[in-house]
Amino acid sequence: MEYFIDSGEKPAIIEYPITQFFMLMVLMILIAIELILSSIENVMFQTLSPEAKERYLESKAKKREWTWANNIYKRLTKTREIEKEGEIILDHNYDGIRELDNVLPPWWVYLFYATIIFGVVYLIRFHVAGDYDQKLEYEQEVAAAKIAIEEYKKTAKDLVDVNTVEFLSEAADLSAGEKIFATSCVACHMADGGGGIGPNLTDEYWILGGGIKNVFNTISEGGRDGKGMIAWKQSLKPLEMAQVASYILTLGGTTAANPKAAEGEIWVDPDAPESEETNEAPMEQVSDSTDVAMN
Amino acid sequence: MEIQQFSYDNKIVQKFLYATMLWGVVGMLVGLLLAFMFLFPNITDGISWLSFGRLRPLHTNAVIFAFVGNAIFAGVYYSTQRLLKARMFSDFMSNFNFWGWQLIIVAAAITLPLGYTTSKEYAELEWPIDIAIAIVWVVFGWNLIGTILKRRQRHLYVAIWFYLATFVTVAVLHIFNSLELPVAALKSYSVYAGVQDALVQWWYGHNAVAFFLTTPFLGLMYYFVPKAANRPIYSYRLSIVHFWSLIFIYIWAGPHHLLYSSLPDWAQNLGVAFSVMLIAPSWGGMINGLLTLRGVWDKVRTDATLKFMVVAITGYGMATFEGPMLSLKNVNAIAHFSDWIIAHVHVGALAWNGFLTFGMIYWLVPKMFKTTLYSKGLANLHFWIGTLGIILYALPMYVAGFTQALMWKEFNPDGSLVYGNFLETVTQIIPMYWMRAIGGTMFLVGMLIMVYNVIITIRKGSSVEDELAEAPALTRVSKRRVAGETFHSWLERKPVQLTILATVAILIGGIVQIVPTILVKSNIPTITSVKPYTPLELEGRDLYIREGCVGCHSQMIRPFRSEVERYGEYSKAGEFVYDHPFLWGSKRTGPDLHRIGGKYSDNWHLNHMYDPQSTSSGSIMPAYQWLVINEHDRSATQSKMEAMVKLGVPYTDEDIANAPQSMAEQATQIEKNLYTDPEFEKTYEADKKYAQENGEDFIEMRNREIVALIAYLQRLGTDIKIKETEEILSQNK
Repeated sequence: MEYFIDSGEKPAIIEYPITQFFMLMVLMILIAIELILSSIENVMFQTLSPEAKERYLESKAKKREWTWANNIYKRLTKTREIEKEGEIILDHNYDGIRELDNVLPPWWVYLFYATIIFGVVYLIRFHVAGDYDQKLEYEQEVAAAKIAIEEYKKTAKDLVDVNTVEFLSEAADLSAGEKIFATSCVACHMADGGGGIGPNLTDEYWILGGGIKNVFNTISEGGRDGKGMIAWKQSLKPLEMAQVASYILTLGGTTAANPKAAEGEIWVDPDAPESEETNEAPMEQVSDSTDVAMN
Repeated sequence: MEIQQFSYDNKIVQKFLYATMLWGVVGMLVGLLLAFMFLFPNITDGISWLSFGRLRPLHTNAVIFAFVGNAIFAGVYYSTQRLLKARMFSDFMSNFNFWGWQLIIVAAAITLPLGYTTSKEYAELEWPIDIAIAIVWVVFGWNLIGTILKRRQRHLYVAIWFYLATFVTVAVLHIFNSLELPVAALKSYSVYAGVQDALVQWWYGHNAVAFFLTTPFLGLMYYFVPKAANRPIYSYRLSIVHFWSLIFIYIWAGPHHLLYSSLPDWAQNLGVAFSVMLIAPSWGGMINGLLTLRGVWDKVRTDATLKFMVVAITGYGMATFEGPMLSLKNVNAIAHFSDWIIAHVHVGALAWNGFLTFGMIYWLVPKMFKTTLYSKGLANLHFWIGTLGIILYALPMYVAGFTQALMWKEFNPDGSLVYGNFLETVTQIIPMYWMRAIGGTMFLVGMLIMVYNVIITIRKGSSVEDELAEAPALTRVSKRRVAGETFHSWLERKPVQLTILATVAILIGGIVQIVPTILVKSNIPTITSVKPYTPLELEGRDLYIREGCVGCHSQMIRPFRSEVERYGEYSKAGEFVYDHPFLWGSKRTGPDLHRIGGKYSDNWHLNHMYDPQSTSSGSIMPAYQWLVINEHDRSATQSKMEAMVKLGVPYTDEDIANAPQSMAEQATQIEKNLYTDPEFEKTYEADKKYAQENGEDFIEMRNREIVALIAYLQRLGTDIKIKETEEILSQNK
């Protein structure tokens, strides 16, 4: 049975206006019930004899005193009424400040005991009995996540990772790639890809290999340790990395205003796509985050 | 019985009150400037001594020690004399206390913006000022105890118990946390390293809150609330029970600032358990304060003093409930490092300390100047604008903290972070930073209204500098308990015994936690691959300390999947053994930096420091251009290394002798690396050529500060490589 309506982004009352009508109906019915009840009470009341009416009114007035709540309140505070506080005033007088001798509020004492019991139980559980520590907690968190991710990957469709990534030639993809390039890459590679902190992307020299798979992998995993680029897989989704990698490849052969000298080696696309290089990297990727649904 | 005549020293109280208001305005103005720096990061562009990292400690120190500190002294000097029926022990000491304290504040206001800092929170001041604080504090305590000894009131009132506990504990905390080895006139290193330094620091930091912001203010509350309301204290028994339980339990709670850090689990668990036990003792003070107002709630509507005090006590109750909740590890996992903590401390500071101080000022000033308050309307306006200011400050910060912390933790189903770029989580909460700045402005405006109101009141009144009083001298009674006298009643007339007992109560917790952490080796498993910093990295670390980077960047990756995914392998205790002082930080306005080493290129760091927005569009980090321009003073490196050797860092004599050469080599290598960016080469060579042509001195890049900072940043967290971690962990077993 369904308890909630899945209305997506919008609240249900906007997505399905019929719910507004339904809520209005409920409100009307509630008002109607209330009206009926009060009129019944009125009719019944009028049928009573005068004495009965008085008794009824009396009992009604009494009920509202909340005696049980008052009793609990008194028992929990045990405070001396302000009129009787003369009985418990101490003979202390500090610059005119007097002190009453009210007992410790029982609710406060219970609270104190409860926290002490919490503290003792906590220490016994985690220190004496040695229930989990934070290292174990972390390992369990990671293990659970690993299972969930693998489970997800089984059912997820349209995964893109370094093995399956293809050059995206659609204009929409390339313009999306250009946008990502403009926000994330220009700081080091310049707007025209001519290179700055990072290498020139317009020439045919590549430090870590050219071609969509290598470029995708470099973006995902980062460049050389200590001098290269950071790994982007934490900030960009796989599809986004594929888009920006494709865009970068379109820069090849263009002329940059201020091209940086060539670094790396000339990249020649091997004919067979299952070359050694592309096979190696993905092996460690099992728990990595480069796979995602493309929707 | 002989009646003695004497006078109360009001002059000293007035001085402290003026100082309270002056420093209050200064401290809050600095705070406001900082709040606006979140919105306009480069508002103080290029001025090193107005940069965020250096001003943040100035704000916290000014508010805690200058504003609240002077308020404590004002209230203590006023109430102590009256509660003991005696003038202060020595007018000279009173004045020494006053001028000494103001000099310390001025010294702080000069040295902190200049970058002289130990980087330990709320203990940033360097060693000469630390010594001055110790001396002035002892004089204050001496004066207090001297007054107690010549009192004309046999029993000590609860306020005095709190003052005594404050004096003793702050002295112990300050001295032990400030143990440091000086290397220059304004430079020292903490004698503790890494985990131990963190534990001592937060034993201090937490109890600075307890014994500087809480116990003295409880004492003030116990005096000023019943005086202003003209009502008896609700329960004397509650005073006794909550006083002793509060001071005993508070001292244990420090480790709750280090939950999920590399602090050993047992110490964290003690911190959690004792923090939760702290609810009732804290609330004891709130109950006694609020219930003292029984029967005069109609007065609260009209009397400004009482109004402020009610909100103050309520704020205290909220903050002391929130504190224990924040100490639960699962809550702390969300709140720690986020703006939630900023909200929490400001509820304490603005409501509890601020409003109680305001209430006290509104009550004291007319009394001491024999007049009535100039304008009740303005006082009411102050109350409302201040209250609204607190709400507008705190609520957005709660939302900001909660939002950002959840964003940090959010995963995509494929196991990647939803907000992998830290900046996304910052830009999300900018509207909250706006509201905070507005709330802060309102609070400050309220404070200014009060200052105006007070000035006019003082002008129309006449100062009574020595208020005459009379009381009978004390007659001698037996030192032992007399018949029918309870133990505590006896203790209340024996100040020395009371002080000793209080000292014992506050020492136990600290000793149980700190001594084993320092002495028992297994608490900090050694990692053999962790080596001391190179001389240049050590110097870079000192720059990191000088610029207050620790104010916004943590170096403590907690063992959470989300943090390991974002930053890298979680931090291990053994990695910090050479960190004098530790730099774990307590707030992440920017990302954690513990594993920043090797993540970016040297050029990226250079560009980022020079203009953070150029590498990270939309970043709210301010520029640190002077680091890129300034020549780096490396003349003290060898004495720094020698100091480190004394603290147990294994530099050999050879290391020290070769330090200049080693620094030159490492710096030259970084300079060489920077040349990989043609843009750098172009501008740098152009600068060089320009300097040559115009006969100006040119500082080579390798001799500039930035190079040392880059060296340090590139070293961070690289002693254990992620791939080697498993190996290291098995070594530890």
